[in-house]
Amino acid sequence: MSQTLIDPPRGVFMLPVPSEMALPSWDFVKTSDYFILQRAKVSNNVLFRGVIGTIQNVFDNNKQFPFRIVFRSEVNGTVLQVAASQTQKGIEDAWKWLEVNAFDVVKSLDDPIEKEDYVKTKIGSLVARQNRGTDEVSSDESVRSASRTFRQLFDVQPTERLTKVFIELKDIQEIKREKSKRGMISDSIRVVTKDGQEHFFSNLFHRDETYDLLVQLTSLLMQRLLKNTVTEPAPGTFYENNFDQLVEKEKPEPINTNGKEDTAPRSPLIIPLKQNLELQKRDTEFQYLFGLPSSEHLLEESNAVFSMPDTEETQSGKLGLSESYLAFVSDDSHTCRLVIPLYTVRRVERLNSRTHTFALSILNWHQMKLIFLMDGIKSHCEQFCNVLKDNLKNQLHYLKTLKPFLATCYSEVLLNDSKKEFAYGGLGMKFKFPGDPKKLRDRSKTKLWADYLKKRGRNITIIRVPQFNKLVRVGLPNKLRGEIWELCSGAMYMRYANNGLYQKIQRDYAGKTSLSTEEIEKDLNRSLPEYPAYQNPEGIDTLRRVLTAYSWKDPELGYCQAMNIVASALLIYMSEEQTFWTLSILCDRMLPGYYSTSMYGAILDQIIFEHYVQKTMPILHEHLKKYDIQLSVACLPWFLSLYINSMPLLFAYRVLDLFFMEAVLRVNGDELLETTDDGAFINLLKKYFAALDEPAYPQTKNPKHLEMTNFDKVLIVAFKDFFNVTDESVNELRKTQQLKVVHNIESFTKRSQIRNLKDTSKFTKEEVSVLYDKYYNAQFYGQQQSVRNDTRMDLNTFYRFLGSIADWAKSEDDDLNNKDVTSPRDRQGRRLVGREFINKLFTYFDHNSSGGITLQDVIGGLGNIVFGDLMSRMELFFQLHDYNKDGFLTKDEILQMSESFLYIFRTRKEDDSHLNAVSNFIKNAFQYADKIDEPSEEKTQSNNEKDNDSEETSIKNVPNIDKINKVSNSDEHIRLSLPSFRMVVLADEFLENFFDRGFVSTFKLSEPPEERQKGLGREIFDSLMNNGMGLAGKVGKRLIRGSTINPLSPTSLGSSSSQRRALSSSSSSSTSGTLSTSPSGKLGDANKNIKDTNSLTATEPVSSPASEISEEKGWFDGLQPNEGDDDDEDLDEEHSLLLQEVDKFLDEFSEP
Amino acid sequence: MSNSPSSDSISALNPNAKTTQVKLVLLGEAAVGKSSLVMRFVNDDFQENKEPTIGAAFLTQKIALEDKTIKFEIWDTAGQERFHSLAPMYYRNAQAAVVVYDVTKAASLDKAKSWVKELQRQANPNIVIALAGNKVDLVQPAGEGEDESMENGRQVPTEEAKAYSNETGLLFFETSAKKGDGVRDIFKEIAKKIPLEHHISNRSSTRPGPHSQAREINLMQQGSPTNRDGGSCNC
Repeated sequence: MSQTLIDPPRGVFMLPVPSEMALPSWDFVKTSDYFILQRAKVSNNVLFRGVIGTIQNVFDNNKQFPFRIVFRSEVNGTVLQVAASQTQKGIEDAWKWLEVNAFDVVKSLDDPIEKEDYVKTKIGSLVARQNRGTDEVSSDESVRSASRTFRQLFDVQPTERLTKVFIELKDIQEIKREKSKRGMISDSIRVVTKDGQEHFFSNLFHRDETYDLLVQLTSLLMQRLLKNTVTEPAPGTFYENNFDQLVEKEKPEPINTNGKEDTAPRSPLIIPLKQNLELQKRDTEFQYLFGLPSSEHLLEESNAVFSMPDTEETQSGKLGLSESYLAFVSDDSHTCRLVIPLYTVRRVERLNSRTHTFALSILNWHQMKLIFLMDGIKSHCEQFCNVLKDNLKNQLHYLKTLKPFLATCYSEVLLNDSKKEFAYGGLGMKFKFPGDPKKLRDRSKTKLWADYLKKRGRNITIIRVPQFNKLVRVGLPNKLRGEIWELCSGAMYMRYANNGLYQKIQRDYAGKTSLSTEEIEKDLNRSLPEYPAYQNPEGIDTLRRVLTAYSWKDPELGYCQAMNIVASALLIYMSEEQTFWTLSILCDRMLPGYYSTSMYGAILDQIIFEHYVQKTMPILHEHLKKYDIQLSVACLPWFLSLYINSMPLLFAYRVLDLFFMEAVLRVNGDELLETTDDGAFINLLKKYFAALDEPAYPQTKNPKHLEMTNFDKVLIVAFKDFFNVTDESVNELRKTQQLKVVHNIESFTKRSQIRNLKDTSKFTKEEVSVLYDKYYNAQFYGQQQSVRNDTRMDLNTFYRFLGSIADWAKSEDDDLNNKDVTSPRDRQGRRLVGREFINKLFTYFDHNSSGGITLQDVIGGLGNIVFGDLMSRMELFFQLHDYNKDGFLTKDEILQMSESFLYIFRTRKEDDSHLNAVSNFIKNAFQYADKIDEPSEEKTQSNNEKDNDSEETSIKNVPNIDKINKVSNSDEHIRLSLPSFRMVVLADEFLENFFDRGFVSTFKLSEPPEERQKGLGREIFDSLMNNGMGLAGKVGKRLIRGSTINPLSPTSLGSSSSQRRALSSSSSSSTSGTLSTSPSGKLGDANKNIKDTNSLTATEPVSSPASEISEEKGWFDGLQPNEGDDDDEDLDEEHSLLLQEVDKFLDEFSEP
Repeated sequence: MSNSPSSDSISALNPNAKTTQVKLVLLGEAAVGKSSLVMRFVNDDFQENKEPTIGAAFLTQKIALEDKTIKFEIWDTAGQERFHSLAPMYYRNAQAAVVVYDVTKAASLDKAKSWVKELQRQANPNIVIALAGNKVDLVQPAGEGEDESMENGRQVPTEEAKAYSNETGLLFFETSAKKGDGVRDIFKEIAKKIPLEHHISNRSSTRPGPHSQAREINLMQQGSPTNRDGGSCNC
């Protein structure tokens, strides 16, 4: 039975993933009835091997290992991959374990499905046990499995077989698709990290996919990062002391506007991470296109032709189905767009069609008949219909709220009985709408709309054709404006789906206050004060209710000045509830991050705006740059308050903001060229705005009544000249630039945090900066859930933090999330020493015993250690181990002290002197301690201790506590005072040195992170301009890709002897690499097969398209650069830098 | 980043102009009356419910002294905490700053102090900073013979703010934007305290290279005791 005790090898088993048998790249090594051990085919041709490897990597995330074990399922002939390893030994261990633990059981089960289930569960639980807590990202299994694969690839075996680059995703500033002009490396991805390094990854087989993936991952990450930079509790969380009793009973749960959990995996089988992300992306695109709530998933999609019996037109396009909506968009995406909420469907019929496989006729609430002819395979269409049927059933309960809901839409009143009083409108109904209705030709506009609504459906069933956009551009009639805004933004669907939520928030939070509500109070009287409604309590109260409700709904955001202006403008045309939902959509979707505490969204859009200015109006841009005028200074306020005057065009205001802005600049282009500083610049624009119409908000809100006003001119310029500025391109830019902004914010927070430290304990600025980085790094990877109100560091994070600054504190296994913090102990009961010591340090740092430590605590605590002297450090150690604080160390405490020493010294490689020192320490300590009992067995004691020590070296991590305890049981009562402790320490040269210098030097505070303040994107261009121009002529002979501008010592691995790779230089070595990403925040480039590469040096021309070139920070040690390369090393270095600059420069300009 | 303030380039264009431009920035907690102070100074006007400033507003006003005219380019910033991260954009290269607090709100002085600290570390090292306690019109004067601290509605005693200003090297005023008390004085005193700028920018306008250095040295001699960080303006 001894065999059953085999430990399963760590990190080899994986959550079972369905896999392809068919790929010819596997050799069979061993087979049993159900399991197969395979080895990847190895080709002698290195190049070929590289290609195979790459193909495997790209096409299947899970085949990156040379060895694997698969389970042969009888259910449908597929195989499940259950283990994979880099080494033969690893996989054989796994095989053995399976042999013992699984083979018989599997055989004994009869039902093939049961068999499969058994294997899945068995392996799954094993993996779960081994991996407990290793992936801090999420509970999502697919994420975990991918992360594990990743760690195995990069972390677990950092042997000489791997050269790697880690780029922490969170450090990435910019990702960009490169299109090299040189043709050799066709497409690549450039990644710029925050310390200014650049990495190129080229010859990716699926560049665009990889790119998308990267961008998506970084976006996810960004949110976390932002949270991490938050230094204060969310402003919208209420002050608890105001209503103590309430808190206990009803902790208001985070309000889930989606109604259901997003994160639930959609399929029981594990979806590979990549696929999962793709699904997410598809859903998001679908939601954005139709303005649907984020709980909707694109379930089915089909090509279809849409027509209505009343009209002649037919449109071909895509029909998508989600949980509660059916949505159609024409192929060109603007001629027709419609959304059918399933709860408005009265009847669905299946029609016979000669031309199409399937035809559906839908009759909706407003008695409109919509016909969809569907293309595609029959089975697919049938499935579509089945899903539709199910979803229709699920939506039935929404039907009863439909009638009251429609009563809140003005369009109903308009079409049915225009004489009827409409009670749901905005403040404008009572306090008059701004502007003169006659001049605005409100009546004729209303009539046009009435016609449109009659024909194309109204409110939630409206069909949008180009006529719709035209009507919007002409200007909306006052009474209908609110409804169209709500509809176009998608807020209407939100409001419908969350019926009553607004009222509920009002009830739940009645009488509560928060920082946000205080801020709101300050501004209530100052929101569009010119408008009559805001001069009396009725309007003010309305505004207060909307703003506070929003701050409760999104406590992280709370309230931002400018929201009051937006909200008060909305309220003129919309009811409270409508405004509330429109505001939500605005903040969450249309202007993400605009009003957040860090305002990253607004800053981001500044950068994008500047980018557009640069692209479309280069002369102006040059001019602005010359005089150092900051455009953002001027346009930020406009962005934030949506310059209210562009509001009639709400249906696309994200885009329009940009349109509009640029147009203003272009129209004024000539005059602007004469301005020379920010001030004059602003004044000019101000004048221009004033000339648009009267500057008062309510008037400019609808300035179209003047025939051909400046406003019209701007609009025309906007539409004509900037049609290429689309939503997509803005979003694209947002995605790529957002990290830059986040890092800016981060470094800003950092500076102000550091500035606010009360005491920097004599650390230099740089050291504090390093400490800060480490502190927040640890925090970042630490487990942070949802709303963070505690910015302090907990114990687990402290381990991580300490590990990052001191070698001895690095934990060997990644079992970091030991639940039992107080008496840390792994499964075998080992490794508790280090933990205990660090726990003690933690308590020491946390001097006000709050259970968490702040940056200040860290700096104070470390400062005491580093800047203390020999004596004070000895005292520190003494106190750390003096548990009962009686001023004496007992026997146990002395032993623990020695264990701590051993723990700290365990990373020493030089010699064994530390072992002697520790054993001397124990010996002496016992000798000089005050003895209360008879001093009997000291000699045995110390001898034993010596034995222990030698064992310690051979078997690390096994402090022989039991042994020690056994021996020392006899004399319980000795105690060592601080003076004697000092004496004991000073008696030993090694320990004296340790306390004098050694301990301090274990803390590494001088690591490179050189923080460069990036001036929001502009400097990059500046440097390009300066360097790029002059160099452009010099180069072009060779294709050399530089990797770093700022060579810093590589942080991960590998030597730094050369920091770039010459491609077409004579060395012509090729290595294969894969770009892989992990959700845990790292991006790695693994170069395998280095050994083979070695032998290949200078044999193959690089022109082969299969060669795989990847940039690395560290150049593999064993690889000899070609001699020719060596000779003009410096020259090459320079060249590569030049080329790189020029490349960047070119790319900057060649953007389509 | 270039340390030369924008005003230099103006002077460079017209070396004979008597007017000196001074970039001034207003900082302080939300709703303490920054915009109202500016409004009073620029338009001699007061608006009861002024809309909160979003991002920042820009205004100019000239002020004449005996020997010269100073044109203030005033950047009026938003007070809400989340706009804080934008502030460096505005105080970049500013030669003067007015940090405003509300005498009826004790917490607003704390915020003002943190602004002063930030300016002294991050902004132009020679920046002239004035502290302004606004809204004194809301304070009911103390009765006969009573202590000043007995004033009704006041939360920040004049003495406390004054002591802080002296110790930190700030100009100090109590103001009422509503009534106009003390508003002009702030700007006047600031104008007086920036004498060298005018002089230097004219003298060295022909040689932009050594200019910035000369300026640096001269102003260093003038000496501000709070100037701890040297020239490390890192905006």
